[in-house]
Amino acid sequence: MGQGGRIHPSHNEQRQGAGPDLCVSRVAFRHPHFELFPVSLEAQAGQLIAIIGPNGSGKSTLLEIVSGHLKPLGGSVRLDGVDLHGLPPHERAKRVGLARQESILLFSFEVREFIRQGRHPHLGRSLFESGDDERWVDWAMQQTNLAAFAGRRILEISSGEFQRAVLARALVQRPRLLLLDEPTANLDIGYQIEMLRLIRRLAASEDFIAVVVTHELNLAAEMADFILLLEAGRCLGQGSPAQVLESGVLSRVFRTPVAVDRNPSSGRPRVTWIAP
Amino acid sequence: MILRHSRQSLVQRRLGAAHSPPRRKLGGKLARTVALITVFLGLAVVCHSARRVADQTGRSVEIPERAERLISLAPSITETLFALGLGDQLVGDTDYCEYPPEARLKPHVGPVLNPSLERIVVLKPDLVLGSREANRIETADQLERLGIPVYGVTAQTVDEMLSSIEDLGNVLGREAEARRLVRELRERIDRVERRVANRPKPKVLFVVWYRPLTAAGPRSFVADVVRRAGGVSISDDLSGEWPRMSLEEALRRDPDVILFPRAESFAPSPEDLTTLPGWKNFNAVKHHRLYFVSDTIIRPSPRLVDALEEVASFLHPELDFSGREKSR
Amino acid sequence: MKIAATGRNVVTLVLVLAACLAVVGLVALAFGGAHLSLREVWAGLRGESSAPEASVIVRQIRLPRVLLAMLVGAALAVSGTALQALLRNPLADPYVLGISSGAALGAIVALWVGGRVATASPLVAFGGALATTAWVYFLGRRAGRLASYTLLLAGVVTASFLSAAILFVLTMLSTRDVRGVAFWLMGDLSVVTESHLRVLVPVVVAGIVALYFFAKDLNVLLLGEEEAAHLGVNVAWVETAIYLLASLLTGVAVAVSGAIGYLGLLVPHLGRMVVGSDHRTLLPTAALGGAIVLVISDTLARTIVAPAELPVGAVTAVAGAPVFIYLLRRTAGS
Repeated sequence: MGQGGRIHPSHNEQRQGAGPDLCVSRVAFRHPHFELFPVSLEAQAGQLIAIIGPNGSGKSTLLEIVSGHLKPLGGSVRLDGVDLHGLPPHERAKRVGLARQESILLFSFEVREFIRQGRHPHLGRSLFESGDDERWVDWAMQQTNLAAFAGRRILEISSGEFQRAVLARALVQRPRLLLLDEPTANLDIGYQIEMLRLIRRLAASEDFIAVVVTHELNLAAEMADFILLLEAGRCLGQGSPAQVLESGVLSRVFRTPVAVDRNPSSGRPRVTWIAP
Repeated sequence: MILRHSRQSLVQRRLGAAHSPPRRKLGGKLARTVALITVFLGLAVVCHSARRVADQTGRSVEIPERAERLISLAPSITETLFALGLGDQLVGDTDYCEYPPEARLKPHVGPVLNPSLERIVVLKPDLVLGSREANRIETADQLERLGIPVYGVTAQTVDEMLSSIEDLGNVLGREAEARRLVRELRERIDRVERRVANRPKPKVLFVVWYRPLTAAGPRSFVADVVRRAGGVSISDDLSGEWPRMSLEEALRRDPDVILFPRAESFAPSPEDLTTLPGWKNFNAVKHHRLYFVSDTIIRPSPRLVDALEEVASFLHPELDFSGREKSR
Repeated sequence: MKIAATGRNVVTLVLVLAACLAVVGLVALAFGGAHLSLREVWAGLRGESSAPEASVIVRQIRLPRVLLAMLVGAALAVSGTALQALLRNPLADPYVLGISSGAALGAIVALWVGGRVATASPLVAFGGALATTAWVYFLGRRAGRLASYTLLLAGVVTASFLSAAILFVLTMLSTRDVRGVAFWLMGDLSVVTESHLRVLVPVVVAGIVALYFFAKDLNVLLLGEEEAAHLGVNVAWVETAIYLLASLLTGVAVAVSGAIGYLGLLVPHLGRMVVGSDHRTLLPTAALGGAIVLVISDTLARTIVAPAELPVGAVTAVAGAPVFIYLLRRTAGS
């Protein structure tokens, strides 16, 4: 509780035995026109995982499966040892937060109301939010720099601010697993970096696992502890950025020649486009 | 509930008398017996002062013996009540009751279809009279629920209209007037029928409305009146109350006479009609046998017979039906 | 958010609005076809034997009618609020899913077949509403559960079809029956019996209270079905329950009073303007606000052309259209 520097006690209790906090084991799926082949993934709390790949490679499907919402054709997703697909929706919502492109809203809320919805899984039988709930909302708004926007209407803020609000709503769920689908899509470079830095910091301080689907290869290289590369439903590789981001593979996968060198200031891989 | 309320207080007063303490021992017993007998007699009177009958639509209605205050919910009923000499007992009628002229001076309870229950209650009627054809059954139900009896009348042919008048006369204590009225009306009808008996029967089209062309069905007053006036309605084989006919079909059936109801609301003049497409092709229009009939032809009231005579004179212009006392 | 959704605020809101409703209801009792002075109205209300006619008029004619207006107004407004959230569509109203057309068709067919079924009409009308509810539900399902988009389409198509069927049956009825039914089709609060009220009161109150238990879920549903699922709402079960409760409220209201339009569409919007979109404050506001609006409309309908009466649906339409336009312009401007 408070300014966010403590491990939430109940999360510790949920750990059942040693091993990775997130264990995605050989999950597969089949759409009429698309197949996701068995993929596995492991992660610990405090880590930021990036899933990259070209359009149509299955990133969003994989994210949906990892969230526990989409039932895979095989394999399992275990968070702190608990099978996510076996949980009822409100239990899952206490553990897993999802921030992504939203449905179109036709009704006007205030920003604070919008963010407060994230406390829904924690309300239980009570009809109204408690003081604790409101404090978490305050905290999330502070972290995402939205405190000044509390009374504004959700339909009137910019898309970047809206994305931060969506993140705040997911944070307010106090999840153990935070999933983000293109969280930086509408943000300028400054906000992009700020948001991923925030997620990294919170993953460590709030002790959750962050999984980000992104098109921004360099952002992934800079911020992620671990990268998973998908193509046409298959996992082409996973590991540290340096291991996965290799120019030959990337050029083929993204159908355009790229070079991978080292960013001198951070030491992380840097992907640049080769002009013809 | 009004009636029950007043009846209840009547009974309670008598019961109260029975329960007052006796003054002397012996005289007390006698007084009590007398009081008890009076109570029973009183109850008997109370019970028999209303009777339960079936009205003309088959509903069971409790009618007071003396119906001093009447309300009519249909213009035809208002006319009939006046004709039976009950004009003074009529304490309320509808906004549309215009005949006889005295009917317009009565307190109005609203339109026929949706009369104001409150206005009816305020007028304290003993009996309300409604028509199955003109009024809504919901109105009757609601009035019954408020304790106001509703006597329903119905008639769809000339004969039914006459027996309806007789029945009303019996129910309202005007048997003699009813019999006299009905006899008079019957005589006039018979006279018309006798005079047209052996005449050729012209084909008649009664146009209820011209856009779309709507005629009178076989079970309507119009069909009955036309028949008795010595004509043949060309819409007799169609089903329904007011069947629709296409203009081509009407032209094909080639009526000799076309009748329109004369209504205060918008009705086309003969000149307007001949300009409508197709209408000028009617033989009846070409030979100027287009007539406006009083709209009492569709109303089950004594003036229906006036309409009958009027139609007969249109259908058989060579005969003379004039010189007769019209009930005006 | 104009009024924060806290327990205390909700209770205060309910008390204030209920008090307004009581005042409006009492004032409504003073109006009607017969002119009664205020003292007569008061005497009539207390059932004093010195004014038996006033007592009959106030207690047996006006009071049931005012109560019916309250119940129907609340039922339609709450149903509209719930359906706007369920369908995520601010234009949704209780009739968009065809329920009122089903009730109307049921009542009209009963009239056609049975001749005269005035007292049984509410039952048959309600049966028609239920049948339509079930039909639209099965038509609107996708992958085994309710999808708001297909539900809306199924409802609109069904409503159109039913309207055509109603017109067809109307041409088959005698003139007298058509005139009688026309009142009901335009919304008619004049036919109210004690048995109607005895059924309506528990059903409407229970229905509104039951929907209030879903107030939190209605808030989350506004974000979107997927989003709601990710926030822990059991979408399939919640949507079905809301749909059934809203249909029940609409069905009983329409069965007794015919199709009164604009209430279910506009009262939720007016409520949102006053208290915001949070259903924990919006639902009670809509319920009591809808009751107030319909009592006022019905009073106008009873008095403007007295002793004749306008169908109350005509009053809500005439008053509702400018309100609707005003709301449109407001939201377009903001």
